[in-house]
Amino acid sequence: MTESPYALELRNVSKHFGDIVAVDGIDLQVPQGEFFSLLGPSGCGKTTTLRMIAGFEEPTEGTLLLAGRESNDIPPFRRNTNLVFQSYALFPHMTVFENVAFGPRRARISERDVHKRVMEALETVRMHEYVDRLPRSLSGGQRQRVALARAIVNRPAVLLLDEPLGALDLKLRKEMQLELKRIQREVGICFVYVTHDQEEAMTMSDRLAVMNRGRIEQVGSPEEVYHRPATRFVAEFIGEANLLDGTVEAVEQGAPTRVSVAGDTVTTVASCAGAPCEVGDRVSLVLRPEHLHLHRDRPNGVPAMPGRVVEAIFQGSLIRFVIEGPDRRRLSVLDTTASRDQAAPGDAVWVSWLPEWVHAVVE
Amino acid sequence: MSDAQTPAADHADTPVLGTGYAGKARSRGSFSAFIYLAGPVGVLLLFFAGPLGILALYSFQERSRTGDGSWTISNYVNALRPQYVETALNTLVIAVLSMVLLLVIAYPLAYLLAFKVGRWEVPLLLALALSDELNPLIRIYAWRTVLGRNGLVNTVLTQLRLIDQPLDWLIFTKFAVVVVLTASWLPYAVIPLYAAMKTIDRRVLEAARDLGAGWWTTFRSVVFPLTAAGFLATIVIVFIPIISDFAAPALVGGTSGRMLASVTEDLFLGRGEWGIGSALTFVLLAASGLVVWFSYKLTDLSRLATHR
Amino acid sequence: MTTGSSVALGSTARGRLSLAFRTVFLAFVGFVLFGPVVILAVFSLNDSIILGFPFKGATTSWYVQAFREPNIWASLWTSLKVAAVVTPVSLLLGLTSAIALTRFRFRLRGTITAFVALPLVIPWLVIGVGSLLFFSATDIPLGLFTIGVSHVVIAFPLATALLSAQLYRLEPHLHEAALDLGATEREALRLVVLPLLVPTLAASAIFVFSWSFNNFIVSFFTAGFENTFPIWVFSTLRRARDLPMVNAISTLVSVVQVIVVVGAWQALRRVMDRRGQDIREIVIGS
Repeated sequence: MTESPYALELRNVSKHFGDIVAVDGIDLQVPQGEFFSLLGPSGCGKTTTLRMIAGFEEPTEGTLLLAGRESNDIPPFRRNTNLVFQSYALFPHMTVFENVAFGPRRARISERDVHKRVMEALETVRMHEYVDRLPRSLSGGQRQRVALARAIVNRPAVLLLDEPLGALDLKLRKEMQLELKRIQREVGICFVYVTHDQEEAMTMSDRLAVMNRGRIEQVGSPEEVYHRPATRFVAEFIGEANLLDGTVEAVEQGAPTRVSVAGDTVTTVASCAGAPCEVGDRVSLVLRPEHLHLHRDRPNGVPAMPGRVVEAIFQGSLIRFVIEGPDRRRLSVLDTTASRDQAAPGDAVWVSWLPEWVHAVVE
Repeated sequence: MSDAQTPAADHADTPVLGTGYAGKARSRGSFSAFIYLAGPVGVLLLFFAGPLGILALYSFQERSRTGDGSWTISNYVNALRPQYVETALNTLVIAVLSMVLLLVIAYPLAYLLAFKVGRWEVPLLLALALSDELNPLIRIYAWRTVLGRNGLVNTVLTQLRLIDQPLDWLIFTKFAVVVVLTASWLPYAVIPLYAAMKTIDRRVLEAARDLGAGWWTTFRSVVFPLTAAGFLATIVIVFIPIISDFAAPALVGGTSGRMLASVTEDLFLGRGEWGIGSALTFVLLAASGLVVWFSYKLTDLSRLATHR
Repeated sequence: MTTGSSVALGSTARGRLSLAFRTVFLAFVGFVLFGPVVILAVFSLNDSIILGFPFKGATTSWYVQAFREPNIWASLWTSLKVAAVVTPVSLLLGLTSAIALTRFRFRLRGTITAFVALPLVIPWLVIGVGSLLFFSATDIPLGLFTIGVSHVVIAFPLATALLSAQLYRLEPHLHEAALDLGATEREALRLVVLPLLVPTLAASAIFVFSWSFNNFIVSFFTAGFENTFPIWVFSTLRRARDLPMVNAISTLVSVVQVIVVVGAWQALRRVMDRRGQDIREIVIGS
């Protein structure tokens, strides 16, 4: 058996429950040591995918490889994967130590080694002072850490996390995001993290896959996925996006240079996702709010669109403007340079952008 | 196979405990299940289905001291004799009265336990359970100290000079049987109702109050619909043992409090009329089944009515 | 100011009224459940053969008489023996069926679940009578064995119901977590599921033991010449002369039952509190 560069590989994997297709032919390759996220709305098939990797569901079709080895038929207790459950699933009748020692003890190693490894894992998650406590007496964040220790102590090839921060409050969640990243770097295990929270996925992941209706819409680094969304769904799901629907009028090397949007012609030199664009294609232009600028008068030399300020919302470091363009289309603008005095609700303004920041998505 | 359907929704897709999993074929699941179930199902097939089967068989045969075991429906015809019909009606009256009385007491009691008694909740609940652990025969017989000719009620009423003669309808009558059955089955009536009420979020009640609903509206539109299932459970759990009760009529019923079970016992152990006895037993079984079905329909309807 | 205080006064007055009403109602229920047995206990010390007022002075002679009656002790011993065998057998059958019905997917699961629950909705009288006919048709002599078997048929589905309810309530991922951490099916059962079922098993044991010990109607038909304690009580109640003795032994048995059951509940509650489980769940289950 050859050493695989991938901790996890899915080849055309599907899962059907009766007539329902939960996962529809996905391909995925996750290298060793990567922090990888499966991101998508609820019902998109991400948890089912995770449960197939863990061995709790068997793929209806396709092949699942763990560290290069075909693993479709390997039961969960023989798999080199561990799962951190959303509910933590700590054993309520066992102390923190016994919980974490559960895995190592099943591996039939000496009790001294068990003790050593458990303490190591508990130190990694900074819970070594709570060894004799029962899960009931721990806070949510502490339980979370114990659940993590219970998984990493087994040194799995792939550590699976099913929305592990879902039950925590916002502040603790932010804290744990950084902690998880630190722990992952420290132990060097491949993490596969399931979440519906795009911000969480962006913060922690080396790469992420956006899933929708059982399919993978895009795989890439957080930057790629944010700046070059492959589909309209990805553009809308990741971050905030203004989407302008239009028709391609001119193309250069597969990227649209001019797009007509509701009668106006917009100049772009943007990238285009998916297949190369052709004249006449229906596309959506993705404009991130932070790439838009406000002007009192029509700016020269850049594409722009007239509009009227509907709202100006102070958000601390920046101001969010809601602009209503022609044909009542609304645009969200985050301008760090503009102030509220510059553009008050009711004012007529121009919205401009740099062509190179526009990204087109073929529908 | 209907239970194998797993919803595809992301978080709902984890069935309780037992799922088959990778590498574990369905046939192995069936095999393990067979190992686990062989004992329990075997015991039931032999010693539960067996007796019911024989009972069914005998109800269609000539089975008495003089009978020869030939096929007949005369047992069912005989079961319709006036004296049995009269006892059956008597049984029905007693059962329905006890049932009504039980619900009248159990419903508010369950409500108090679930929402109003605070830290007394667990002790009271355990007291309820405890009363059921006492010997039912002793509990029934002990009612003679309350209802008997020289019992508590008669003594108090005489002392207060409200009556000159002890009331003689307190004991060895239908009345006594109804009282005793109600007392005996109270724990069983309260628990399902209490369980149903516990599923009501206290805040829902407060919200209803907050929206200006009076107690009747709150009850009709919130409490009752949410406890309808508990209501059904109570009727099913309690009516069946009541309609077939033997000890209460035997110990405090006298002749006017006779119920079907006493007749059945007499047919089997006293007169050896196994055929008619079996037929009567099946009538009893059919009656219980009918009540279960009827109360099921009733709760179903009430739920529909309140949801509209 | 005055309006405010009068409103406050009005609401506390109403509060007090409803508290009084509640207290009276609960006292009434308490009397219905325990009153007769308590009065019976008092009369068991009454120096009269008539069960009723007035109280003629205290005596322990009925207890002495009861102690000298060998049939009482024989019947109590029979009941204890039956319950002591019926309880473990029922728990074992209840446990295996509850595990199979909640943990495996297989054909006929729905049907078998209904079949196992069926003895709970069939009148005990019917089961008693049917068993009598069955045993005589199969030439199985009536006695301890037939009493025990007919008890098990009703008692183990009770345990199944209690245990499966608890299995459904358990955190659904605990079993999966155990497998995920490398436990085999058997280890997951032994190390995680069973320990969490212990309180329910204990509660089922209390329940099944009491039920078997107290059962009259099923034993009545399947006992043959054996006398269980309830059968002895039932047959002795027909002899007026022996009633005071019944009062005495009934009081004694009830006192022992209360002590044992309350003690068992307390112990169970302490164990469950430590684990953060709620004893109410188990009471509801029963």
